[in-house]
Amino acid sequence: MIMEKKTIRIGNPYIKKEMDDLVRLCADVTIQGKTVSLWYGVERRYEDALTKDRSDPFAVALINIAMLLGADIICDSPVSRRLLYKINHSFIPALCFVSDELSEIKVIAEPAESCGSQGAIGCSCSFGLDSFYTILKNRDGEYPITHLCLFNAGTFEGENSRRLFQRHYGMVKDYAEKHGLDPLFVDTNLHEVLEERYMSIATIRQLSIVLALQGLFKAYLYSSGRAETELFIMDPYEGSSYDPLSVDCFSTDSLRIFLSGIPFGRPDKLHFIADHPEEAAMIHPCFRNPVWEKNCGKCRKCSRDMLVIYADGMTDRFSEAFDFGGFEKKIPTFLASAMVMGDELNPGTLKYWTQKGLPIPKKTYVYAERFRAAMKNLEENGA
Amino acid sequence: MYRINDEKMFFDMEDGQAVIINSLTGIYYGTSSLASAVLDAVVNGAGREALLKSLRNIPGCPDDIENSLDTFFEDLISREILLSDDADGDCPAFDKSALEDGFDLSIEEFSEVQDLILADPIHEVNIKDDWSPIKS
Repeated sequence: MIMEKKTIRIGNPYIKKEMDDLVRLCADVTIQGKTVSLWYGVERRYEDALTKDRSDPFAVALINIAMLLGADIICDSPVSRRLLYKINHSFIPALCFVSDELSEIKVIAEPAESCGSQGAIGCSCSFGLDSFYTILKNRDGEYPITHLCLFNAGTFEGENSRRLFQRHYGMVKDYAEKHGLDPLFVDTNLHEVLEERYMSIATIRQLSIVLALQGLFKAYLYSSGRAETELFIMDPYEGSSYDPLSVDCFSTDSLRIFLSGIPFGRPDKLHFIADHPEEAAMIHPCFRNPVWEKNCGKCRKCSRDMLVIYADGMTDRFSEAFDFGGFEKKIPTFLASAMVMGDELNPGTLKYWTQKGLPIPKKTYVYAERFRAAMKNLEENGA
Repeated sequence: MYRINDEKMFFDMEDGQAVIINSLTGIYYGTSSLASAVLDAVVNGAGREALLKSLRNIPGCPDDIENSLDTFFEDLISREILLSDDADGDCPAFDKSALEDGFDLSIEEFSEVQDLILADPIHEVNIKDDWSPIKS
């Protein structure tokens, strides 16, 4: 008996006008007999920029699910020629090579020639270290930024995620307008419909949104969260580990996506931001508090950056962003957690600390053992 | 009085700062300077009355220190850091370094280690029945 191959079908994209001056680029997607509508929502002034004539953003957004299911993606509308080629001949084979869980599927569509754009150049504005670095480094030069973007595709969580997103966007708007740049938000329902592990597909989601605006962008600078100067080691569960592959494969003939900020690590970027008082005051790596509240100073992202800032004697320059009161007392535990967690969010923090000639307190090793025991217990037994 | 819940909690004093680590969850705690000194005394067997006496002997001690102390202990019990015990020993005089943060008796929780494990669990897609994802 011949088993029919699973498929995901993407219907022709269409525009849906919403209330509140919003428009959505939509496509009805059928996966194993179940049909849902995926959409990307923007302000009406960007309606002409939406990629209506091809399936590019939807095909990219569904790649991970398709590979997990072993389902070919069939598009009723064309896909940009270069994108189609790179997905089928580079991206999918590469990911399947490193993961037994993924199947080598095909994206099946007519190839489309490049489309025109308004020539804009965008990047994200999350108030994180990487995005501020990209913004400040590309105020002029070969690709001077014109648009600061905020995308809602999984970073904002919980019941109030849309409200959080809009409030965050209000701050992006203020910052953009102050610096003569255009603010742009894209809301989506990708994270509501496709329940994937966000860290695995963050880049895929973000770049699918960029592809939804090919009528606007000729270039997009994607802020790298990684700093390795050596070859990236592909981890299928960590999308950022193969960002160079993603930005190359998801570029088209008319939209070039560049990876910004490599090979610089967080210590280098913090040092750079320290010379820009406005951004040093606003920087917000915090995992817990929203951007309109001060960094919590306790989460793993805050603790790593605070260690580097302290090691570099820059606490006064970041005093508006972080509260360094009593910080010395927290050093042994912060170093211990960095030790145990392998410095994975901020490669080089411990190395940077010792390079600055700062000692690692003996107690750090004792605390690290306790943290290791706890992590082992959590992994074995759950919450 | 009370004792540290040794089965779950690792307690350490370093340069006047108490560090408590929950060895099962990775959650750890820091306390204010006076709270650290109080906890150190508890670990060494001090009873409630002896603690109160030593606190009241500190110049400038607020009138509601007894309330503050009991609230602090209730907080520690609710976090399973302290358990009830028969300890009723003496309490040494508190050093002036214990007043670095004033008479504040507070505890701060840090869950970054736990956050790492729990924040983003691996999802697997249920490919048998439909494509709705299930959490592993």
